[in-house]
Amino acid sequence: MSAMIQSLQDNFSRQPVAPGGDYVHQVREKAMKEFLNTGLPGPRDEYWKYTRLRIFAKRTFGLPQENAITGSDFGIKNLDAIRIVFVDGLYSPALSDESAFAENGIRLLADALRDDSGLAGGLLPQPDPAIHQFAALNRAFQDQGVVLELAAERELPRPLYLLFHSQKTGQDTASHPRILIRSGAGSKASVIEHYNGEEKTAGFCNALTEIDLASGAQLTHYRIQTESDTAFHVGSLFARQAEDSRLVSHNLSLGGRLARTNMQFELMGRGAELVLNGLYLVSGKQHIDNHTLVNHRKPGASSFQDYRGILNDKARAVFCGKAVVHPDAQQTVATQSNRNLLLSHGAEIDTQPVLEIYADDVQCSHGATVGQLDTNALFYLKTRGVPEDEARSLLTFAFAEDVVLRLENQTLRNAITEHLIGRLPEMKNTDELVTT
Amino acid sequence: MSKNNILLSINKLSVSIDDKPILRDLSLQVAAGEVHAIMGPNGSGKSTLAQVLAGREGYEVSGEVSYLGEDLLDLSPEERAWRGLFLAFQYPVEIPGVNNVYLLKAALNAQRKYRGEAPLDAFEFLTVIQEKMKLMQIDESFLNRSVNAGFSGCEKKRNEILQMVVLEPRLAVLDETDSGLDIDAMKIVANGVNTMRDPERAIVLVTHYQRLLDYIKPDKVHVLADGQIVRSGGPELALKLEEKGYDWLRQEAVSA
Repeated sequence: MSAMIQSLQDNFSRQPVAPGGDYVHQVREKAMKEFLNTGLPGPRDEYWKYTRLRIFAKRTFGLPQENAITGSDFGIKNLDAIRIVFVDGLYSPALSDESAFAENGIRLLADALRDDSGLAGGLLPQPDPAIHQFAALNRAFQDQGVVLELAAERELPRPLYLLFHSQKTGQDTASHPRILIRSGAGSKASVIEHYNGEEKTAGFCNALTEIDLASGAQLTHYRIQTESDTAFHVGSLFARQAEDSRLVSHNLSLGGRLARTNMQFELMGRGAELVLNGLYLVSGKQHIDNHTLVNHRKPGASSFQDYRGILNDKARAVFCGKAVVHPDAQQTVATQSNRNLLLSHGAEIDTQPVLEIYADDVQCSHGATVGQLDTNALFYLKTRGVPEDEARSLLTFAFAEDVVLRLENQTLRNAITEHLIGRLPEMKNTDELVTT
Repeated sequence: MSKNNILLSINKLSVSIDDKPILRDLSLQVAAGEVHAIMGPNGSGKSTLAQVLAGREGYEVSGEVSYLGEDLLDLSPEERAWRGLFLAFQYPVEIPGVNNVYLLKAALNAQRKYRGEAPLDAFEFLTVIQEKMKLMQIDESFLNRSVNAGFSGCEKKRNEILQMVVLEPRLAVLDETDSGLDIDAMKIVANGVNTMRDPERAIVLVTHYQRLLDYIKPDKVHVLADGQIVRSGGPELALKLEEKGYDWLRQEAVSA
């Protein structure tokens, strides 16, 4: 047994009593068994072919502990939102807008489980633990997290900003935040999950999100991962969409030593629309892996996926995007694109766009590209007096920009732009050249 | 014209790509105040000459090129730009995500910095560019667009000339700027070029057709064929070419 599994088992036996009593306790016990049965993915696991967990399997992670909070302005500044902040894996009432919870259908997970222990099983049918062992692990530790339940026709007046922040003064812990979003018919909301870590934090964050959209519901979901480049991050997201619902998913994987997201979408009704907008930026020795699966199960739904990656140094990224059009799902529109920019010879991308089509009246396309900076554009900029390094950064930024421009929230867009500019060393003098 | 006025001096320039020769022992002197037209059939090496002068990599180059007394071939493309060398591209590059007007501002300020002048702030720059845009009859909406992204062929060429009139280079090399222009756009472009004529400045027009020279009168015309200048003369040479075609010179070369 690996040191990591050992430490997780140890955490499991010492974790606080389950909120919500016996039923929740049983769900946790069962989930832990499922996790242990499967164990950490190994080299023969086809879903993890390009992502090995060796370096983390040797590490140990403790339970979250109450730490002194060293700041009050963590996360994205000046964001007009309902804030809920978790510091080093634990809810921080002092940094959260508790007064806005009740009227907006927001509860902390622990409170929600006390009200309704049935939520312990989640909102959606449980994914196969043999494939989704990290989702099972999250279920086994469920305690910290948020439940948003929007009544029919309700509109969340401001975005819900969920910040999971790791301080450098904290220990290396394993945290398992759990976010459940249930949107009633015709409701409208925007939710921002932000996983953030100060430099040199080296914990393990194993987050899970479930989204259930009733007919006509609209949700804009942001997943922003800016953990430190020493951290280990796994994020699972499962969504189900009824007819005429619209889900826009922005997935920005920017941090972590090793980060993996698994996202799975079930389009269950005519007129359902799904937009997947993704960006990953890796440098140094980072490894980022994004897996998406879109199931078109009913006729007349559409999905549009555009994931872009920028890879530098000796970093590595994996993209596996799969869209399945089931026999029932006539008049499906599904597009998928994955473009990658390799900035160094040492970087590596494994990209796998997959379409499986079992219906005949569909419009589907997919494609992946891997390329370097356009030498014509570089030359053009240089002939206009822009030095080589700046020209490179500028073009790199421009590559990412289409994805960034799709972020509807302007404060967020600016924050991400700033993050990118900070990551591209020569951008300092050229940031006004970009069109945002 | 005295030797001191020579801006660009090309001496026995040979250029090849993958061992295939494109320019052979080409020599050319361009003095301040002059407009030169370099004409020639397709594949004669006109565009290669323009690209090499601007610093494009990937060619094997020998010979000497001196610009304002410096070894031009020793300078990077951006260093050439700072010294006032400008290339208007035959195929201007689309760069989505990079703002057109800010690129122009950065280009201008990079030159000013090199010359030890204070950079223009946003307001000063706007005043400059609005005047030049009026000259080039370019719409204000252009200010916020990405470099050449979604521009028509004609707009791209006008954008190149706009850049030129804003940057006010010492030496402007225009590579087939007339191709793809309708007659109205040609007049606007020619007008932009003509306003640039100045005793301190030289302009090299690379063109396939004589048409542009109806609007921009060159001081000297050179005919490039098979990588060499086979004939130089005044404006009348361009007219003769228009009348007789490039074959006339080829035949003459053979019989000589």
